[in-house]
Amino acid sequence: MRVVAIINQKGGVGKTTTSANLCHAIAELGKKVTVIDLDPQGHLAVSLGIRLQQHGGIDEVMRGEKTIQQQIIQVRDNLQLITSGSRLQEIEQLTENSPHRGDLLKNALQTGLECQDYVFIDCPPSSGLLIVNALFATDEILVPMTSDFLALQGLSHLMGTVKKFEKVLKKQYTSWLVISRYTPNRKISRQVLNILLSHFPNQILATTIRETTLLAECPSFGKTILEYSPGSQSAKDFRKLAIDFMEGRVMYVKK
Amino acid sequence: MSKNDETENDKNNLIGYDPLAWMDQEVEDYAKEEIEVLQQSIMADDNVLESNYSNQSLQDADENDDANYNQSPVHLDAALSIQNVSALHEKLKKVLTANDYIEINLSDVASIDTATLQLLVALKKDSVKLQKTVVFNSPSPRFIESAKLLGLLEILDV
Repeated sequence: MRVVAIINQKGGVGKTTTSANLCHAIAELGKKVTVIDLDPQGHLAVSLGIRLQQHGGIDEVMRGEKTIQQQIIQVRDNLQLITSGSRLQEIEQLTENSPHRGDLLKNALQTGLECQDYVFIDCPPSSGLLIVNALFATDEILVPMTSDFLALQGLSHLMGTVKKFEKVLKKQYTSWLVISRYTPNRKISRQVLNILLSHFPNQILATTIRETTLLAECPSFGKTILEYSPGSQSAKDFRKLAIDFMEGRVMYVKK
Repeated sequence: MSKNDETENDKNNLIGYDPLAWMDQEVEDYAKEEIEVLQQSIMADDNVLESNYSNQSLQDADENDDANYNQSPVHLDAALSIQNVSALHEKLKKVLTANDYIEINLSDVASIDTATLQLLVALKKDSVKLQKTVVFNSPSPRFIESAKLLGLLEILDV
């Protein structure tokens, strides 16, 4: 089982879009996938068509109140979701009653998901205790990146955080980057991509996810792009990305 | 690439600076951690040093070599990396053999890697054993930064 944190402290880089569509694409290939919404905003659940979230989610598991099996929602064939839950924000905000620990998620994942091929964690755009929990729980990270300068700046911050964790935890993360919201006709996009390739050789997944209006539309219908527009370029991008991720297909620098 | 091409490329560059440039140091940082461990082992057991830069090997250096190698102060180059550490090792061995007081001028150092720092630590330790004196003078900011990162300021006495 691969446990993968989809992480970037910068907002708007496509974490939830990647989580919903990549997970569904991998599930369509017959792999068993669980995706955990670790963002208190709960947008992943909405993107997958779960709008009523009165019940708890991963928040209650992290608090030790429920088991992970109790929180699973089967959202598609081979794809199950664990929502964020309404009290996840309390863990992030370190309120007086919240448990101040970084290993809550790691402990929560110890049992109940053994039969899964992949567990993805859709992380919040922050650098608080939830991110600490995600980095504790996984040895593998997938970083969605937009191809603009501020995303580079954000990535620098993220990699600084990851390096600190690697030092403290004495482990090295397997890191992948996915270029999302890519606009190939913009010169700066290509230049950002070149910079990324120079710093992350053999780590950028081969398929870029191009910016399209379809990808912006489908969450409001609770559908992934594979359902909303199965024949679209975006759906093809995510299907190819799924294979990239499963097989480790990466971009190479042109020589 | 001609200068005109470079100028043209600069004009076309839409990214003012690379926020990820610091990551280029990361590969070195792993090596730095290794040298830190090595440094600790040096303190714990001087035999580690002796295996690489032994007193015997220093004393055995050919005293008849080029006199230029024997001069102190020794000015270190701007770029110090593993590519030239072997040559520097030979040079320092000869200087150490020929002099009781060795001054190493670090003012030009613009970049230094862990291999070179390891060599300088070894030089310092060996000089103590030989009852000689090695002084590192005029360290550049880059040298101080690198030595500080590794916790070597004290051992190098800069």
